[in-house]
Parts: sequence; C-alpha cells; structure tokens
Amino acid sequence: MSHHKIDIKDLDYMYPDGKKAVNGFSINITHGESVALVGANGAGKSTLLSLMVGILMPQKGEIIIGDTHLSKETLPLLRQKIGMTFQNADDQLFMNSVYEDVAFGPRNYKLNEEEVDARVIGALKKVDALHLKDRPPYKLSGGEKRAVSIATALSLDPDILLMDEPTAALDPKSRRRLIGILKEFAHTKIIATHDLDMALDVCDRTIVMNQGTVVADGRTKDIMVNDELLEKCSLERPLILQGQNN
Amino acid sequence: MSNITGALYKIRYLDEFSRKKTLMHRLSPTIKLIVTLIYILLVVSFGKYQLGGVIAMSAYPLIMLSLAEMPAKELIKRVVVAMPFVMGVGIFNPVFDRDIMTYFLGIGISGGWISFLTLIVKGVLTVSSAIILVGTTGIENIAHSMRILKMPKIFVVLILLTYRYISVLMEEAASIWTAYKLRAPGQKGIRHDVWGPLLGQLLLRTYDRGIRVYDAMILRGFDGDFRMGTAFVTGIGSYLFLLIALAGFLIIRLSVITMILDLLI
Amino acid sequence: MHMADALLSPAVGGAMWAAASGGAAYSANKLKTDLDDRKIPLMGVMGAFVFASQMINFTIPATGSSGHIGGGMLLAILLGGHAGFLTMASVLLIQALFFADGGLLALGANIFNLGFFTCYVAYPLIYKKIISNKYTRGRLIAASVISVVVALQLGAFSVVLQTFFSGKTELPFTSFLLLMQPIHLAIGLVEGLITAAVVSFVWNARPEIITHANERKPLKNIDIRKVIVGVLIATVVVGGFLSWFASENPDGLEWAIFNTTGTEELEGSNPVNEFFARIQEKTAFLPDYGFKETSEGAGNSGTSFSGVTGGIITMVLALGVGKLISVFKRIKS
Repeated sequence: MSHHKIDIKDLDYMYPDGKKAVNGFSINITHGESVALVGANGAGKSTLLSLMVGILMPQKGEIIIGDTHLSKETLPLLRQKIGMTFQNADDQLFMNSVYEDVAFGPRNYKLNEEEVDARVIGALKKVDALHLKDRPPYKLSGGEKRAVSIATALSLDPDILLMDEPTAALDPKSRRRLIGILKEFAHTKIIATHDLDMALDVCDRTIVMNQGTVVADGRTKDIMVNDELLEKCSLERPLILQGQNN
Repeated sequence: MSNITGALYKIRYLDEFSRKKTLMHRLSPTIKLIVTLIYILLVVSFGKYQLGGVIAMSAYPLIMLSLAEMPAKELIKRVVVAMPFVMGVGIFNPVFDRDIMTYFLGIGISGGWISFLTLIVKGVLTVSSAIILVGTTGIENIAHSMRILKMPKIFVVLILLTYRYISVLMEEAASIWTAYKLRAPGQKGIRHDVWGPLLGQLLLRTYDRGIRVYDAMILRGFDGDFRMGTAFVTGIGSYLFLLIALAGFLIIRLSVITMILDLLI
Repeated sequence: MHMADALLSPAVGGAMWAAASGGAAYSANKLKTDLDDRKIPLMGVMGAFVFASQMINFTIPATGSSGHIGGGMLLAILLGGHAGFLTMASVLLIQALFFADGGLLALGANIFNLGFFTCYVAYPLIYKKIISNKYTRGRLIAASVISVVVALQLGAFSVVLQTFFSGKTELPFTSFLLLMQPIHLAIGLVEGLITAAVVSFVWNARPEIITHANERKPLKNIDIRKVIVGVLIATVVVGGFLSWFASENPDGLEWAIFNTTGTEELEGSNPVNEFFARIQEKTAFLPDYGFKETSEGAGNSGTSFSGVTGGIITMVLALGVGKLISVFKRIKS
C-alpha cells in the first residue's frame, strides 16, 4: 500500500504581495505515518497544507501523492484521496445541518442517496458524533464542530488527512477526546499545530518549519527535548516534558 | 448589541422550532408553502371595508398555532415589530375617510376606521402565516420546495448559504459592537470617522471567509453544481391538509357563514 | 423601507412578484453562463454580511440620531449587478420569513424596490458612469453617495406607487409622496455616506475587491435595457390582467367559483338551484362581509353588522377548535 506516500521536492510559494511563505521545502512521508508540522506563526505551515491540496499552486517544485504528480488535471482525483480540515471549522461547515454537511462531498461524487447515507452515518460514527446528525451548526460546541468537520473529510474515504490546528480553541476535555479519535485513525496524517503536547501524543514524527523551509525532521520524542532548536523557532517544550532533563 | 442578540435569538428560536415533529411539521413543505401563499393572496384580496372577512380569515393561523404547538407569545413578538409601517400609512384612513358607515352601540363609525382596522388585521394575518410557515417547515425544507417549484437553483443555494452565515456574521458583528462600546461608553452608535474601518474590516474578513468556504467546497468535489438531498415524500396527509385548507378558505372567502346567518335572521 | 403585505392588493403584489421573479430568473441565468463558481459562496457570505451590518447603528454627526446600511448598492459594488441583485433578493426573502420584514406577497415589491433600483438602475447607470473605470477616492465617494440616494428615491417612489395602485389606504398620492421622498433623501444620504466610507476603506486596503467586479464582465448596456424592459412588461401585463380581472368581476373569485360549478347556467331548474339562487339574491342586497362601498348603500347606515358578526363567529370557532386540539394533545401526552 505504498501509494499513499507523499513526496514534496523543492517547493516554493510566494504570495502576490511578495511574501515568500514556502521556500525550498522538501519532505518524504510514507504510508500510515503520523506527522506533526510545527513552527512559529508565519512559518508557512498553512500555506504548505494549501499547496498539498491545490488550493494554492506552487511556483516551483513538485508534489507527488502516491504516484501522481499534483497538477490542475490530477486535482479532482487527488482531492478524493486527501481529506483536509481547516483552522476555522465554521468555514468548512457551510450547510444548515450536520447531516447535509457531511453528505456534501459524497453527493458531489454522485453516489446514490443510500450510499451517501451509509457514508454519512459511517463518518459521523468514527468521530463519535452520530447524535449530532440533525443539529444546525450554530448549536455545536467548538469540539463538536471540530469532530463534524473531520467527518466531512472522512465521508469521502480519504487515505490521507491534513489538519490545520485541530486542537485550537478546544476545552481540555474536547481536546482529550479529539486526541483519542485521532490516535485511532490509520490514515496517513499531517497535523499542523502549536499544541506540542498533542503532537507528542499523536505523532511519531515531527517536522519543524521556519521561514518556509524544514529546519528539523525527526522523531517527536527527540525534537521536543531539543531546547535550542525549539527556542530558535519560537517554540517551547511540551508541558509534560518541562522540568525534565533529556 | 441587544439589537443583534435579539435578532439572533429570533432567528434561532424559529430555526429550532422548525425541527419539532408535530403533525404540522411532518406535512409536505411544498404544500405548506403553496397553502400559505394562497392564504396571503386571499387575505389581501378582501376589499378595504371587509373587516368581517379578514377577521374570519384568522381561523387559519389560530388553528395552525394549536396544531403546531407554537406559543402565541413568540408569534406576537414578531408581528408587533412588523406593524409600524402598516399603521403609519393606515392611520390616514380615518383622517381622510370620515363618512359614517355604520353605527355600533349608537356611535357612528366612519369608513376610515373600518378600513384602518381591516388593514391592521390583514397585516397581522399575513405576517403570522409566513412565520407559521417557517416555524413548521424550516429554511432547508422551504429551499427544497422552491426547487420543486422551479425557482432558479443558484438562488436557492444562495438563500441556504446566506442563512447559514447569518449566525456566524451576527456573532462577529456583535463582538465588534461590544468591543467598540467598551472603549466608547455612552455612545448610541458608531462615530462617523470609524464607519469605514469598522464595517470595512468585517467586510474584508467576510470576503476572505467566502474564499475559504469555496476552498472547503472544492476540496469535497464541488464542481459548480450544488447537489441537494432527495425531495420530501408527500403523503396522503399532506393532500388532505391541502384539501381541507382550501375548502376552509373558500368557505370563508365566499362568506358562507354570513350567508347562513343572513338566511336565518 | 419594507413594503408590507397588508398594503398591497393581489394585483399589485402579483405584478411585483412577476417583475421580481423575472429579474431573478434573468440574473440567475446570466450568472449560470458567465459566473465562476468562486462567486457563489462569496455571494452567500456577503448576503449574511449585509444582514449583520444592518444591525449596527451608525451615529450621524451633529444630529444625535443614528442610521444603518441598506446593502443593495454595496452588494452591487462588490459583486456586480446580477450577483448583487440575486444576493439582495435572498437577503430580503430571509428577512420576510424570519423577521416579518415585509411579507411573502410583498417580497416581490421589496425585491423590486430595494434590489432592482440599486443593482440594475443606480449601479450601472450612475455608479459605473461616475467611476468610468478611473478609481479615485473622490469618485468612489461621489459614486456611492449619489447612486445610493437615487436608488432610494426610486425605491421610495415605487413604494408610493404600489400603495396608491393597491388602493387600500386613503392617503392621497401627493401627500404620501411628499412624506416619503424627503424622508428617504435623508436616509439615503446617511446610507450613501456609510456605503462610501466602507467602499473607500476596502478600496484602500484591497483595491482588487472593488475593481474586480467591474473589470470582469462589464454589463453591456443592451443587457440592462433588456432587463428593464422585460421587468416593465412583466409588471404591466400581470398587473393589467389582474386588475382587469378584479374590476370586471368585483369579486373575481366568487365569479370564478360560481362559473365553474355551473350554478348560473342551471339556474332555476331544480330546488337545489333555487336555493342557491335565493342565497345569491339575498347576498346581492346584504353585504358579504364588509359595508358595501358601491351603489345604493354607500356611506349610510343601512348596512348591517352581520358581516363582521360572521367573521367574529368564524374566529371564535377557530379558537375553539384550536383549544380543543391543545387539550387533546395534552391528554395524549
């Protein structure tokens, strides 16, 4: 099942205002890996995720997912394989009930209503949110919104999950629940986050980004105790590791 | 601020109410929509002095309220807000139309007062029936019905999207308003030199949000064609409702009860 | 200013519906052919923006009073005429449904008054003419203020006309006009200034948002003329037909019913029909519900209260039925 691998080579992206957000970025991620993408604000994490799903198109370099080069032509195909959740769940939940929202993707791929229903129920079950099925989005808590937005991605049965700050603005209990859910997924995952405790919990591997490029790439356990590196990238040790020596 | 939260409450109350499961809620949205439109047309079709007729037409919302288990208080709250314009324009009727038309308990009543009252009752009834429609049907079902009635799809989609983000944007507007008030105590509104920045910032954020929403859509396979779920199944009960409602309207509109009354007297 | 159901006659309300749906169908069709999908969610959130921004009060300098934004013009400036019109229509529909602003019958009139004049008249004929593709702060402000004022004057005039033709009020045409236009001049100035402030702010921060709508698909003049003519024809035809129907048959509906059930043709042929004939005869003298305004009994006290009594009896019956339903439901649960 090596076709879920992600290869990014020498990627550049500059915004129209001249800001170079991604600068010579290269990584290699294999099937089933769970990778944390960390770095200060403005390090280029969100831009990188947007590039990986073709919301933005790189000026230079290439992205290969499985054996497919990402390009305008292959986008529809690749987007089926990649599920992504946004920083702000409200941007992603644009329908007036949870069910309709989760059903949006499957319906676009022209599945029949029975299959759509099965997908919706299945996806909601995976994130423990089946009971929210008929709720309007404004009646969801932050944690529930997050769970549902993950379900909207899962309903397309993706191989790869990209998440932008999934634990931001969650209360401790919702955060804990979300971590539990994430740990159960067998998908290849890339999680952009400032929540280093969560990264430690969920991801074996961590990539540290600074000014659009990779400054460190290794086992989460090792990176999270490298104080010099963390300090340089405006990061801090996870709470759980604070006060410990290497 | 209270303005915004009040509006939010109003919209959410109806939205939540529309998710109830009473007999009325389970009827076909399309049929409810059609019945409501016919009802409104019939109410306004009464002449300006036909006070009795419009009073009789109140039968429909009154019965619907009970069937839908909707608290009259919630209805009245909304109706009251809608009345000022109608009253403002209607109040000239008694001024200009002073011919005594009838006597009640020996007091002469002018045509103007009768047409004024007729206007008010009409206002209350048309507004009530529309609110009862939303309260028993919900925006999603109304949108589906609009599709069935061949309204342009893009318009229907637009309504759903607008509706979805009203909640989100009203909350944003409320927090901007609060933030402003905290630093500008005692002001009734936004000062003119911050008109542009304040609303403009919100607008820019909204613009970017629109783009992110689009991104979220294409990531899930959106290709410009908005696909909605299957239509509502119209059961025998809905047809029965249509029949009874129309029969009731006709009986009232053709003043059958008044005729009987006249024949008896 | 939202037109209300109660002030409209079916003919005027229907005509306005025809006009508005004609406009909506046209703009939807136009958008289907030359819209990039990107605009759909943008229109949705902008509609919500207008909704929310109408709730914020802006203090008017030196007056102590406050005003708010109407939105039609702002939508046209941001999204273009067609998309602006459709978005305004959806905002008005939601307002009618959830806030009882206007009403379902008056929706057509409101879309016409607040959407059509802004997006299809003031925007292409005033705003764009003043800007004429040269964006400066001065031009933007002048264009916004003038187009909002003009659109609102037209909208207010249209409310007066709709009220007048509906004939439900006694307010003389000229008095109403003299009342409405100056008020809306003041409202328009305030709204225009707020709109101008927002537009020039956005233009400063992100000029492409303001210039974009214009550059993409310029509205050709022929388009606008087509819309205006189409809408006018729809209004006149439907309005004309409905009022003809109403005047030929003072009670068109009753006429239709009696005709289709064939009572008139079968007149006097059997006891049942004789009974109906008697009813008709009786109701010809007695008013049905109101106090007949025409012919003999105009304005005198010869009319009876049976009409109102009948209405009240019906209402009481309905209340009783409602009460019964409630009681029954309570017992069941």
